[in-house]
Amino acid sequence: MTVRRRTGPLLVLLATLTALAALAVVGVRPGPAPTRAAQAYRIAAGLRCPVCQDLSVADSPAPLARQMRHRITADLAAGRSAALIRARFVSAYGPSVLMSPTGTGVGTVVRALPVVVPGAGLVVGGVLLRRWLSGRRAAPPARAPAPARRPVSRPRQAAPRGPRWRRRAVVLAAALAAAVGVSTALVGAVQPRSASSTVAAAPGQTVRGAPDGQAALAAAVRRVRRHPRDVAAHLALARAYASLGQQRLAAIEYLAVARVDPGNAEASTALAMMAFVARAPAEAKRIVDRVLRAHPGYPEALYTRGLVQLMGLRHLSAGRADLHAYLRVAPFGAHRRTVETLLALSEKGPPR
Amino acid sequence: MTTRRTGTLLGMVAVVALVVVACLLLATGLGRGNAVAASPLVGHRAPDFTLPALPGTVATGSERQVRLSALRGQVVLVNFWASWCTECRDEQADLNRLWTRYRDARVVVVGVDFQDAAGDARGFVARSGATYPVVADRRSQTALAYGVRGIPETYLVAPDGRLVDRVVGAVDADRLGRRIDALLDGARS
Repeated sequence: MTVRRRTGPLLVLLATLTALAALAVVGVRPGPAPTRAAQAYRIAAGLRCPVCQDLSVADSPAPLARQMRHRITADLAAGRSAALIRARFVSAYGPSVLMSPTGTGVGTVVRALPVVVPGAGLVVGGVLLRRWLSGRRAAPPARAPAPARRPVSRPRQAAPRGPRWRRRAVVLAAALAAAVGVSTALVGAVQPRSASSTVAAAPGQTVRGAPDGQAALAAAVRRVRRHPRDVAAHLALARAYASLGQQRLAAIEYLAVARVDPGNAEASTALAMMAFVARAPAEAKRIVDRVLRAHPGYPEALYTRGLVQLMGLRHLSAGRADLHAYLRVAPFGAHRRTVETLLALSEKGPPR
Repeated sequence: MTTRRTGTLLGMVAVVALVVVACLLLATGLGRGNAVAASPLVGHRAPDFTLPALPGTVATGSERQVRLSALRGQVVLVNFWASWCTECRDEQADLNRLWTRYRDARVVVVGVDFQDAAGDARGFVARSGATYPVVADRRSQTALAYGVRGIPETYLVAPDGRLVDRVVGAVDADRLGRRIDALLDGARS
């Protein structure tokens, strides 16, 4: 009897150990190496298609998903690991590109939800059940009518439940409505204004809904009247005048900017160009030198000084140096063609 | 009495939790407008690219390709678009305005054509009057590196190469102009 009692647990222990060892051998033994296509599929299946509704990159027919699959295959061919490939997509699209949440940040909360929510449900359910049972126990028996012992005041349990729950529902609805209101107000305060509302507020250039130069000018004038010391408003008005060919008025606005913000590069450069056009190259150079001292490499100033030196003061090499510098700092600048022509002409002597 | 008090307390906690969750959901959900949108790349170095110029476009001139890192020191506006995209057509005037306004103030607009036929893209550029450099991302590798989800999408790159904004949907020249002004001011000071 004693022997049987001892061998029983021993046999169970032995069987368990054998099963565990077998499982370990099966688990640890490496299977056949997955093909590259299988690897690519596995990675794609773990990524969410960014332009689809809950489809993986592997399953999505969208062109973007197709290109993501191509990239995965190319990356695998280049010897990149699955983790690195995933990390590259995460760095561009964020963790939401992964089909399963990560174990960090919000991902932790998401992972915990399946445990927390049922747990909380059980607790709440338990509390409610307990209350219900205790209520039943406390309630008077159904078959005990006692007209003579009718209570003076009605017990609380017997009170009609309708109004109380209705009151709670009203409170809940009010709270939700308040939440909606507060959130909308918060979002409204945080979000930048919409395009339509910026038409009146910042009409520096030709703006959406007001493509006409005259309309832009009128808006810029209004803005300057509202904010007479706003540099951006004066600059916008100067640009509006310049675009309509009203150079004198543009000059007045640039001077206004220079009064409020003496170091303003755009206004000073524009004034230098005006001085050059008005046949005052020395004055133009003095102004633009100051700009370039404060903002070396400012393309418009380099262009202006190049013109002034080359065509106004006839300082050939200095002008050429400025124009070359312009080409360097503004690879797609508006004056490239002019500058290239001027440089070509200046090789033969100062252009007239 | 204690059970009633616990119940009331639980109810209050539930209501407060519900309100807080509703507030958070609404604030984050409604906040995703058609404007500046979050991107994990914001604040980090913008992915570099070297893309060929779209054949036949006027802006590229002698430049047969555009390399982002070669534009370091300038504010770069990388705009992903395609000829079949209606919103891209809508935003074209704003992009042209920004380009005209800032091209000589150390700002470069780069149009990146994406998921498009070359002929259609050339036609679009010719009609739109775009004079800024336009390149073709034929295999969408640059779009994937930037995390583009749809078009148009525009990325603002600071002179130091950092990606500072992502604009989902059509750009607004005024709003983006203010951002560019701020970046230029920062770069000058």
